[in-house]
Amino acid sequence: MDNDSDEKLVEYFLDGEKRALEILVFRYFKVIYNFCYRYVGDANAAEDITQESFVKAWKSLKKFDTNKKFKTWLFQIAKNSCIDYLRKKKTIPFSRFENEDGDNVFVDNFVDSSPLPDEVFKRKDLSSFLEGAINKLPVNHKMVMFLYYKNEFNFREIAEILNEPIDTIKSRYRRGLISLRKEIGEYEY
Amino acid sequence: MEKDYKKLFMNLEDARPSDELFEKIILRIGREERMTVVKKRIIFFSFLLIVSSFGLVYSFIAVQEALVNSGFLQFFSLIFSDFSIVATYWQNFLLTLLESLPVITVVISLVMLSLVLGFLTFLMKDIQFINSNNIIRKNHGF
Repeated sequence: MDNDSDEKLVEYFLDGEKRALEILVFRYFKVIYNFCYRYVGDANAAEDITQESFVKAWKSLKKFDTNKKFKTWLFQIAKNSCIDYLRKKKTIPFSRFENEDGDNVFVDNFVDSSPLPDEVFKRKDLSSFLEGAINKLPVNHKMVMFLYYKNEFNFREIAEILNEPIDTIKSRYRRGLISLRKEIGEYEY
Repeated sequence: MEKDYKKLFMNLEDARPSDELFEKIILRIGREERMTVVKKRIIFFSFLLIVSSFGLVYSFIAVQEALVNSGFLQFFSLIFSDFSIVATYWQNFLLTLLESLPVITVVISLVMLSLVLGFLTFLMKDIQFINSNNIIRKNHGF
């Protein structure tokens, strides 16, 4: 059962196999925790939201369409849980999640496609340096980039998770790249 | 360029959850599963409590009527009016009291009473469980 696909495990669980759910939780709890941590920026809150996300997923498993991708669906639940948490904590206004993308055609279409300087990868403190640079990005840009590069979702899946039009996601991705490049570029090697 | 950024992100260290997170999630799901059962049980016990409460009231009325009809109350009142006679013939008096006692009706009303108390205890325990779960959820920001 350990090697079965997520969707198959959901079917097993719905047939009464409780271990299937444990396997699914084990498979995803770390990535979901990381996603929540990136979203809310608080380790304790991220743990609570991760728990909440899995509980919500467990409650809705009967409604899950096994023709869809479980991972995308789970991330969608986690994203909604993060928003619920932030709304309740009132740490950021709800408007931050909406309409933050302008219509700057130039910015949306212009990304420097040259490779990153080798010095970036040679840095001893690359991880913390990156952490700092990425954390300077707006949360919505940051999340798109994480979902794309770290969790290996495509733009269509990210659009589904974040419940936004695909063009908005692409725009955020481009803007994220520009900002990140700027952050990296500002550092003197 | 795409590869560069992928490589860049792969260099980012993952945030490490606490060692107990997996167990916490499984326990939490178990708790929520219990909550679902408890909620259903609350509805069931509430229904039984209402029914048994009506039964209890009805059985009390029945006991009251049976006590009057069987003459038990008249015999019993002798204790206060003619205590000396009751004390002299206490064995006969006790037997008469027992004979006139509407045993079946009293037993039924005691069973009803224990049912009401039993359902009430179960209900209180379940409500307490739901409350404690709600407090935990509230403390965690949900």
